[in-house]
Amino acid sequence: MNGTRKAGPRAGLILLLVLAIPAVRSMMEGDMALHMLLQFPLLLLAGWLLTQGLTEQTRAELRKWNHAGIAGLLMASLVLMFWMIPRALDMALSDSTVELLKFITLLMAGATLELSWQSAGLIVRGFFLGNVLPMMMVVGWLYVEAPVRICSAYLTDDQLRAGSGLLALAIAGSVVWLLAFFCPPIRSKEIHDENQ
Amino acid sequence: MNMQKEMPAVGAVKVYAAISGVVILLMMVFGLVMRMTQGQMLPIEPNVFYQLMTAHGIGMVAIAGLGGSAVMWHFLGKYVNLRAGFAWANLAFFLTGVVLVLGGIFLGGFAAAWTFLYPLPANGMGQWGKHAAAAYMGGVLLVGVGMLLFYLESARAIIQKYGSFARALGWHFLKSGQDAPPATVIASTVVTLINIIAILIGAVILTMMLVNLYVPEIAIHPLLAKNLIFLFGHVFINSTIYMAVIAVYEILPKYTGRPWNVYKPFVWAWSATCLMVLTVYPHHLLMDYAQPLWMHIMGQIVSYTSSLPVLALTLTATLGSIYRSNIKWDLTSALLVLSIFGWSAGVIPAVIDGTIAVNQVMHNTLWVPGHFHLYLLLGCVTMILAFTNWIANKEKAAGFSGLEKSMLWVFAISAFAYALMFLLSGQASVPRRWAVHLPEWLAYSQIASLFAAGVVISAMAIIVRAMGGIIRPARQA
Repeated sequence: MNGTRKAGPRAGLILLLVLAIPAVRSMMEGDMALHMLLQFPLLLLAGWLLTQGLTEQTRAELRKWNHAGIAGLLMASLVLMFWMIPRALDMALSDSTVELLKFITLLMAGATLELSWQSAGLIVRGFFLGNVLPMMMVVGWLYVEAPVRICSAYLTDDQLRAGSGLLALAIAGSVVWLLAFFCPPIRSKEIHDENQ
Repeated sequence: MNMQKEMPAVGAVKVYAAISGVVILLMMVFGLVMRMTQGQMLPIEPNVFYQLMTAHGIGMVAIAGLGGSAVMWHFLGKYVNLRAGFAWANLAFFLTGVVLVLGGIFLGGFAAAWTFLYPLPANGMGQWGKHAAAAYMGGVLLVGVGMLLFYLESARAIIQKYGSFARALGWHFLKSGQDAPPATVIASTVVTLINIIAILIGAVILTMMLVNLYVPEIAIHPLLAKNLIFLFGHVFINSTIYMAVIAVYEILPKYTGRPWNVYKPFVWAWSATCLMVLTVYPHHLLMDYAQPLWMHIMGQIVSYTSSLPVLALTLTATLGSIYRSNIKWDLTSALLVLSIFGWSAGVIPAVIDGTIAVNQVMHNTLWVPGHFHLYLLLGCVTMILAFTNWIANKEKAAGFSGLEKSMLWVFAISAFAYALMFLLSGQASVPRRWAVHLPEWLAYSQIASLFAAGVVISAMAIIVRAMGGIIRPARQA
């Protein structure tokens, strides 16, 4: 556990620093699909890893505000919802303050996911996924079907690839989630925890 | 592991059953009014007819879902630890959704049929506006949110008790032949899984259509929309009977004295059904020439096989358990056996219509309502009525009065004849979803109205009697 507590934040910090390198940033943000489907998840992962360094005392304090992970997962879904809006993507590319806010909010969303996932249990998690996955599918469809470019910064082809990628990711996420119902070892403990 | 807790129906289950009984009755009245209108026996305007048709369709789907949920929740709760709060939360979402749906239909004039097929909701042509369509679709979405909570709680409780869906479906039993889960748990697991998938897909298409409603420039591919709607709607309505049949598994043994044992074919059948229910819906798209050919072929093949495993086993097991069992007949046991007949008979016109060559000429006729009225009215609704009667009798066998016998026969004959009139109308090429019928078709609707009245009267007697049994203890308390 101690090993994870040290290794996790270290890996998270390294990942964050790599993502912040201007060349890496412009490479990822130059392509809408990489921006949404690679940079976003990596920022979430960095937030998740950084949070593993929190002490048990801090976690206990945060749990008071995050009963059954509801507040945390709600916040994560709101952040994800916001950054799927095409205008938000445009603003992040044209305004460095918004770009900074994007980094911070996605890191925080990753952090709240880490803080909430274990305590959320099957139902709250299911509700979160039942919201986020269809939302990704609808946004993916919007990107694919929109008759015009919906981001000033990206071409129609970018939009099409990002939309298709979101759809694929959402479908894959749904399959993995439902397959998890068939896997006993992890879930039984979580469900026991949820009933406490 | 499979010890059953004996507990009387409480709280939410009784409220579910009571609401189901009342709404089923109301929907039957809507059905009677529609058939009388088609028979030119009532001067109902076509726009009102289509509103009634929309309300009847979505109302029956929703209430079959709620009634089936009552059966599943009640009996699944005897094997796993379900938390009542989720049943109440589901009901709250359900009722809020119903208010929106009814507002959209009767205040806003929405009348695009329960299937809300794209692009009709956005094209009311002066009959309804986009807010009415949004209220309808938003209402359906809310009902789905409640149902998602309901099934997530079922999933949690099943996994808590059995470790995983694989064990709850009895796959370990196929290998070892030991420790089979009860039939109720297997059926509930299948329904939980397929309905979580159906609800997610429903959420996607409803949101897409809501976006399109207000931003029409973002068009939806009509065939994609139809596929998603039927994947959602067909799975959901199919699952209602798979929930309601749990009443047969649990109640009938109390009358026959023979337990409903789980054998390997039963496990295979339910697992196969789990996949087939998700892939059978293309039989509603056989007339869509743009649909890929392989989906048409899949639709036909799976239509032939989909209902058969579970139905064949349930039918033979029902007959086997009744044969020489000295079954005690009362209204509940009679309704349960009738429901198995309705389910079995109702599948036959569906299989016929699932044949591509037949479908090309029959699908847009009243043949299809003939199928689903046999299947749902004599199958699913009859199971729900049996369950309602069972809990009204405090989960015990009761006497079988002359009035009850009469009402049962009137119900059985009227419901069967009513569905048969649809099938005969279909055979005569009478189109479905038409408010105004040609003079040559009137006799079908008029005779059907007579039987519809018989259904309403007999169902009213059965439901009112059951309501008395459900409400009475609460009053005494």
